[in-house]
Amino acid sequence: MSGGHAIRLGVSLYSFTNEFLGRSHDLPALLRETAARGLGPGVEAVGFQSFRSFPDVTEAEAGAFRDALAEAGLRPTCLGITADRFLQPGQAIADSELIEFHARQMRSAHRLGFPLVRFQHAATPAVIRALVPLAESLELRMGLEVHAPLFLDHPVILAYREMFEAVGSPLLGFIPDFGAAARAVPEVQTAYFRDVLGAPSRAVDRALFLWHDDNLQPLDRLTDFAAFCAAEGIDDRFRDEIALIFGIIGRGDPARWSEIMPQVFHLHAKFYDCDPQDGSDPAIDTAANLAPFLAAGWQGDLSSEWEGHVTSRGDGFAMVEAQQRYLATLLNPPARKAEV
Amino acid sequence: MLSDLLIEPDSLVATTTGLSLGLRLPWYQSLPLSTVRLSEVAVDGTPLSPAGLSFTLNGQTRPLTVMPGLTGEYWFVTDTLHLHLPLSGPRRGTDYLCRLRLQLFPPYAETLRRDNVGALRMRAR
Repeated sequence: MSGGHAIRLGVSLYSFTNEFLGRSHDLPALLRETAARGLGPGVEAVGFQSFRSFPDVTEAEAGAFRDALAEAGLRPTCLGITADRFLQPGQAIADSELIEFHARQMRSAHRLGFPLVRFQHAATPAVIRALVPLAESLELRMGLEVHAPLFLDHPVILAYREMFEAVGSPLLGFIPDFGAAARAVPEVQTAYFRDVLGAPSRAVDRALFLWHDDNLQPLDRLTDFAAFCAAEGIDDRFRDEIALIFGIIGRGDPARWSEIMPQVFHLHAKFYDCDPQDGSDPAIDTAANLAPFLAAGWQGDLSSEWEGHVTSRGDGFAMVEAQQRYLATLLNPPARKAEV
Repeated sequence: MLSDLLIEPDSLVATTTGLSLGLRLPWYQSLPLSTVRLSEVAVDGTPLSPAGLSFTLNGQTRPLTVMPGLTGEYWFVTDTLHLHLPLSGPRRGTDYLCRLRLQLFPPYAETLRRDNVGALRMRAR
């Protein structure tokens, strides 16, 4: 199963959102603890989370980060950048402005030492295409995150696939997020909605019903759920919290990652929970998501990405440790004893 | 869960002009100030007009009314924003119930909106 692959483990610092926002760890402390617990060597970050001077990272901040990485024996893998088209609610900026906004973030990624940026589908193919010359000059790869609620056959993703084909640049590719190919809504989330927020069960049940309806498009689920909440008198706060499941968890078929395999630059092993027995995530079948990459002998970096901070103040380091123990069993399964 | 961060515990300070309240950004990453909307601010049940409020962030104190125009300035995700609430006769050692609504419009998603309501009774320092 593991023959031929060269998947390198790492972590997204996004997994430690609780620690960072809770101020128990600043950025150097996150890197030190990542190294101490052996959760690298790959390190991914979100530009607007980790760096105060983003989107125009100063040389001082970039140098401090590169030094901290080197001291910890870690290696930068991927930097998340954003497509901030709506700097004022409801008012879109022009493509030319969005191109320049991406360019600033790409130059910062280069300054920080990242070889790859993860961009958002909201950028649009036209904007990303215009940035290819800059990517070439920076020797920076650009990966579209395939993230819920979209999957490989959504028109938005198809438009990127067509553009990538037309441009034919080795610097353009994909970053599959395993949360786009989940098997269930995380129980930790539904329990949070019911037990912590006190949301009515009928609202949670309706959302789960809609999430499982494969005949609905992402926007349809939101529209239907909003109409249900209005008709049932569900508080807007419950509506908005529960509707989050439509945006961060998708029902794609993980076997279909093979369709884009040659253009995959990096992997997000998104997870919410770890089974205490075997370490698997009940909501996201990590083994099924990894299978196409193992079978193809894919080479590259994988980031553990715990998103539990959405509903929990849990310990991100402990969660990533648990997932990486599980990942190790998938990537390097013990040799079977010869059958007699 | 992030909305629990909104009002920073033990952040209430009595000043010469009223109260200063510490707020945290209830989001996973920094946001432009133009995508943050503060409203429905009340102390002990008495609403305060946003037009009379000011805030301190990034080393500057400005009226709250300028916030929607600050498209190029960010609220760094671990920073505290200090909201200044005009109040006559603020007293140290007195408990005040502070309540407010903070809406976020993350700029990378046209339809994404997060509505956070925070309420906390605190003793002014």
